[in-house]
Amino acid sequence: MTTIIESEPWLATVALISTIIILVSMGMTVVHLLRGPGLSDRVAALDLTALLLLGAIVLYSLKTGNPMFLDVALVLALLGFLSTIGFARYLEERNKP
Amino acid sequence: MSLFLAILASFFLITGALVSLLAAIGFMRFPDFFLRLHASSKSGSLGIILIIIGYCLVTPDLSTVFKASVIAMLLFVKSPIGSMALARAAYLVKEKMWETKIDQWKDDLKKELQEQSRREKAAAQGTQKA
Repeated sequence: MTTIIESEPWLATVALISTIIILVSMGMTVVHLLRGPGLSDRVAALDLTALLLLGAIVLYSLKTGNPMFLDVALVLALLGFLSTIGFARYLEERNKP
Repeated sequence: MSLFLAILASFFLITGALVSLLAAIGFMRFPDFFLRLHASSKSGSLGIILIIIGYCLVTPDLSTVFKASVIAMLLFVKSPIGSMALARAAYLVKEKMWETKIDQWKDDLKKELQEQSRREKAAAQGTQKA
């Protein structure tokens, strides 16, 4: 039995185009992360960057046909959530003695 | 059948990527932190979930579909919680707002800050006594 990726080879090209679009938006987010006006903006930019990186990893897993990368995406989603909550806590408590 | 699934999946993939691009553009262009958070949290998670749906349509075995669904549900749950925590923290430290006409929670913010300072004073006295 052949998989859909093997019988329709143009799907890899679609995945490549989507990966390029996602990487362009990730570049814009990283520019905002480096330049941003305050700490809260940087934390939000970090959150969005982790989200877009997750999308890029899923697309790469589709392109190579290797489902091993989904574990990486799962760990990235969990760690991104934890880091966002921790940074929000830090942002709130930063100015207190 | 497989051609139909592939066309549907490529539609989902391209749409998800474009929605993610919209999220990034909105994140660059909006004038204020809360508006930027609005762009990044909603559109970002929607785009990634669309990409995961497209992945589920073309993947051959069921275990991968389950794993991808776990990621999608996790994003669906974590994205509102994370952005709510960020927005709450930014509001409590009085992040600048853009052309604010109505601030619905102004009195609540004042009350919350008074409550926090009172609690901290009580805690400080408690440690001094002990």
